Amino acid sequence: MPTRIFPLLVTVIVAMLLLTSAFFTVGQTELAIRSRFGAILNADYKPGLHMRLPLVDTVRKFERRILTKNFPATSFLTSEGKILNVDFYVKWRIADITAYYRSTGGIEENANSRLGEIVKNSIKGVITKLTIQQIVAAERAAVTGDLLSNANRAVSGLGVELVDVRVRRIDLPEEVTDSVYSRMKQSFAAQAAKLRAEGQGSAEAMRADADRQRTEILAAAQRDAQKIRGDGDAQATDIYARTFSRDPEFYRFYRSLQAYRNSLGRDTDIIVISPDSEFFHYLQKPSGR
Amino acid sequence: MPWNEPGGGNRNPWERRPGQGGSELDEIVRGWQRRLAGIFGGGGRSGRPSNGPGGLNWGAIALLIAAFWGATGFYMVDAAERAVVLRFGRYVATTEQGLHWRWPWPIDRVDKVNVAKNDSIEDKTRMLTADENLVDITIAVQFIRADPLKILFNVRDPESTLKDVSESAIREAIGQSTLDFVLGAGRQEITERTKGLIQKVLDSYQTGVQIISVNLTDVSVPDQVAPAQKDAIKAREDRDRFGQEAQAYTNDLVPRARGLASRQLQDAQAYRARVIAEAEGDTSRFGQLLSAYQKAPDVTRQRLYIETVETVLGRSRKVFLDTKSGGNVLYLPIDKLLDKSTGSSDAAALLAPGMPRGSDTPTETITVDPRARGDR
Repeated sequence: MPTRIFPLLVTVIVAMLLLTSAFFTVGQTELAIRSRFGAILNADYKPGLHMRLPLVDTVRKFERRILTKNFPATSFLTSEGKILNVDFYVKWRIADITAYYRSTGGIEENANSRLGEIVKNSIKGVITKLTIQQIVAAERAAVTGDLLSNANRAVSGLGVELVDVRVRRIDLPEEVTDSVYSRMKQSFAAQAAKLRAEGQGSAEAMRADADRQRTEILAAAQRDAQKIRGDGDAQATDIYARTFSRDPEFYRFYRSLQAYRNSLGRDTDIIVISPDSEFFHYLQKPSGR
Repeated sequence: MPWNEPGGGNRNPWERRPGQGGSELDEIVRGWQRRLAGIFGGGGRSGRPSNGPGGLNWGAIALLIAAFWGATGFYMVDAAERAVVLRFGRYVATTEQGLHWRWPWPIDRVDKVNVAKNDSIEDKTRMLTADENLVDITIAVQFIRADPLKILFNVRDPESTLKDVSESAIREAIGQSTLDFVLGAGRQEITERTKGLIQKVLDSYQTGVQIISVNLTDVSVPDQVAPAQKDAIKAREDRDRFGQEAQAYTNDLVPRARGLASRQLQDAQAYRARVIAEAEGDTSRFGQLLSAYQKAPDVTRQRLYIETVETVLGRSRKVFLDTKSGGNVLYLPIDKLLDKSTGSSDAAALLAPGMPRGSDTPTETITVDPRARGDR
């Protein structure tokens, strides 16, 4: 019994293996090449289930999606001879699977390093024409616009399409960084000094303005006060003049007496006087005139 | 039955492999099951006693296995998810929330993508500004996987792509801005510009990622520069403080000056009122006196004169000098007399030895009569 079942089982298993190896699937994210003894038979497979000749045909699968390769810190010289460390990435996809397979052996790393060289050369060509300032501030298009089309021409032999090249970082070398720091410090210090001076300047201006206002206010008040006083004096003088002109002689007499009374006869005064004076008339001649 | 057991075990792949079409699959499977049952049945008939029940058993087991296999085709999709169904690797359908059935392995495969969940990446980098200063930026990008097909099929590793693109975009936006702009007013604009740029680039790769928001969670100068920047900020505060102090000075000074001005005006008005009132009072008094005087001028005149001299002389010290005698030189030590006035009364005695010594009162009468002396 086992002798009869065994060959049957073997036949079934072999047939099964052959049958399964006659099929292969291509995923939605995959590209495939079917080759027979090294010769490529078909390189244009849509996603799905496909047939091949078992044992004879080999199927290789590749990535259909966009791939990324980062290139960290590559040094470039700018037009003013400064060194810039540029990190960039390259987005690419396989455009022509046959050419890709032939040129890279289907190994992604090979493609990456070839791409890297080409793109680095292109970037170098762009950066040597620009200053650091231009590179840093440039729109992406300015740096990578021509670069992309030029590089694409160069990489087309690889069966690869460059989707995008973008700069991730731009770093200055360390010794330049230090000078940037000190420049920034100076800039902030200048800014601080300017702000303080501005503050003091405007404060001084405000104080001066306040002082001016004060002086003006006081001067105007003084002027008005003097006007008022003058007005008072004028009115008073007018009043005096009107009354005193009724008898100027008597006014002089009366006012003189007042003045004597007010100006003479303090405790400390000594009056040297002649007894002939009118006042002493009766002191000497009591009998009368 | 040592052979039958592994034989049965081997049969499963057989049942599954050939199934490639959609609806005829069951038919084909069933047909093969029948044939297999025949093969093993025949084998059994030759010598096995249990041929009848053996054939029945194999059919039932195959059916059971097929049922189990079919049952593994059920899958659930969450409300937030989309399920992408792939048949032999080829995309056939996208299903939404609920319970679904697909062809089980190895025919169909389902990839689920959560299209509603907010994810975020954060990235801190030091970068150059347009004016060649360095600034540390921390950027946080929130995103959703909006388009499951693009997410799955277009770009390998969409999330690290997002990271690359974010860094590149923020660098570009910062590279076009000055440091002042980055640290100050430009934050909003830079955020907007970066968001637009990231989305644009991601769309050009057809990643299916949608940016929800971009935040600059931290924008600062490098540590080496931070103290200088702090001082600049402090200087700004100082500037404002100087202004406030000056304002305080103004606020103090000007109202006081106004008060002072008002005081001067009031004083002047008071003065005017006073001099006018005085003039009116004085003139009124004079006028009345004049009226009385005009009635008896001589007498009034005499009276006024004598009263005045009386008052004046009454409170002064006096020296009588008969000026008519002339000739004689009279020594009159004014300084002594003045000295006397400060309190000492010796001068009077010294000056007029002939006269009896007066009282100690400051008022003293000194009589010098040269003519009388001359008569002697």
